[in-house]
Amino acid sequence: MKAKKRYAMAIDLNRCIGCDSCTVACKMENDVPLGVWRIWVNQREIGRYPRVSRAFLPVLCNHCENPVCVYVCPVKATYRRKKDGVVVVDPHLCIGCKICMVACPYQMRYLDPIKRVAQKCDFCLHRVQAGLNPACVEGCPAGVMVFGDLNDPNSPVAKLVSGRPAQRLKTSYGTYPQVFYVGKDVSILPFEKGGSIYDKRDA
Amino acid sequence: MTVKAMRAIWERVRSEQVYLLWLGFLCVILAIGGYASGVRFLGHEEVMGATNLIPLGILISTYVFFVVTSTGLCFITSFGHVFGFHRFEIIAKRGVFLSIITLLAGFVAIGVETERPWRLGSLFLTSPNFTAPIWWMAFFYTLYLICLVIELCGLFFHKMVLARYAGLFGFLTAIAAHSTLGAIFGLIKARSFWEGPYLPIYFILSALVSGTAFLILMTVATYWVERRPIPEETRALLVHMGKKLLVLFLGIVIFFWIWKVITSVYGQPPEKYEAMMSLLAGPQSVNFWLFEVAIGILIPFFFLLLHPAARSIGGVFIASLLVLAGLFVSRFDLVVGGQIAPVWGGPYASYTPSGIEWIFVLTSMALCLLIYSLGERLLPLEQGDSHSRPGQSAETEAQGAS
Repeated sequence: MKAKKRYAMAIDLNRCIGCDSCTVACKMENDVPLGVWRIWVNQREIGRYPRVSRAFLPVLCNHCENPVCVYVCPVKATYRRKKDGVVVVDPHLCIGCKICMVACPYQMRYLDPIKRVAQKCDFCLHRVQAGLNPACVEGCPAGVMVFGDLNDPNSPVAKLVSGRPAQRLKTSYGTYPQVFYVGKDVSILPFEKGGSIYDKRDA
Repeated sequence: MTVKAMRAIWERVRSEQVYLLWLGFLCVILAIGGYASGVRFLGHEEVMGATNLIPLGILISTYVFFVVTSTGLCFITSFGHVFGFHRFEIIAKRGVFLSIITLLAGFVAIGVETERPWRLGSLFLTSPNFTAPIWWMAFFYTLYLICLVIELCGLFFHKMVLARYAGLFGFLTAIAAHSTLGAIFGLIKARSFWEGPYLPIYFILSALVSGTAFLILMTVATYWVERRPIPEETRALLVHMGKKLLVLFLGIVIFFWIWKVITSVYGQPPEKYEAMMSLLAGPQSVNFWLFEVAIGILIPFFFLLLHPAARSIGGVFIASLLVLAGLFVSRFDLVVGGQIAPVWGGPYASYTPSGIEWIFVLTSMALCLLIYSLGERLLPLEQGDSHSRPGQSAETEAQGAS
């Protein structure tokens, strides 16, 4: 029997330079309309002059193992693919009730203003099925993102996630994201409310 | 057609000028609403004020307002012929009728809010997701609507056993449907302002406020507009509903709100705190303190409790009007309040309803008033219905008298 895949992404925060190339590459590849994004780089300045720095956190759909968007969709327009764990939207079923957009703890869904259905990142499935990497991975000049099958121990993503301390976002929601962050401790960066070691005024 | 018959019709139209003008006015609003839905669904411009940060806007809160009212009306009217408080039987027909049309008005509001409403019917049947509260809400509200229609037919045709059981089943489906509506918000863990068992319970309790106020408002307005004296029994019941029930229900809502505020600010729980502070001291504070708290709760509560004018029918009418105005804003604050603090932090998201959204709000209200205005003339909505009203057929009068 063919083993199930578990597509995942690892993001090395030490490498990210905040250039937004991933956002641009994704927009071009997936024809994402103006004003909405499937991946974007959350940026925060931390510290106070003269000791300041800037933290970057690329965020995209986390393709959660326990996806709340799938639970709340009344017409099964969004579902998690059994063969590879990718959470996708079927635009032919979506009624545009927008409840998935509200339910996503990562706010990674948007209403496509042209197609008038909910949309989000699908790990560029059309590319992945052709043996290519997602557009954001290809577009990143710093090699921040690594994509692959987590069930394959020899895949780069499995090696990266297992070889270094890896974290996921907002784990308290019990969603079990499949996007992992390595390199920096996400919990002490000022991206999640209440999760910062820095003074509130810095966040 | 003879000249005599034409003259008779003309006389009838002349005597009904104000009524027909009113119907015409409502039809104009509906026509504007129809045009607006064309702009929304056929046009290529984004005409809704809702954004990706605040996807659920004023039409969702209008939907909540109407279905809350419908549920409350169902509760109040079932006191009489379902639970045996016979005093309430005199308002049963009008209450159930209002319950149906407020539900329909709510459906209109959520229909135009949905991006692809034409898919709703078929997809809810062919591709149901049983873990989705929205699906269950649609299921229960459909059952509820069917029960209400059967109940109303039972009341009209004096099949009291049928009305009673349909009413009882309607009462149960109302609780199921309405608490599921609360659960749509309450089950969203990502929005801690909504999350938890509070909203399903609060929705049921606030339905009682909404339904009582709406029934008083519409009944009194109907008698005033038609320039008929309110029968003593009805007057006494309406004053009782205002002076006793509405005060009690408002008191419960005050109690609920106090604890909602305390649990949301105590220890500054992340996200919940920011959302509550937007109500208490942020962008929604005028809505909250002026409309929701002062106009919607405190002024009518203390007026009904302490002022001697609250014993008059005018007093309870004004109090009901204030309560409903406050509740309309309250639903808006509730829906927007859950989304106003972005999950990634940063400043509050902003949302202003667009002109088209306001038109849709007015359209759903106009639809409610139009069906009520027609029903008030064509259906025997009063107990015994002894008075003769224009447009009422001899047949329905005979049924009312039998």
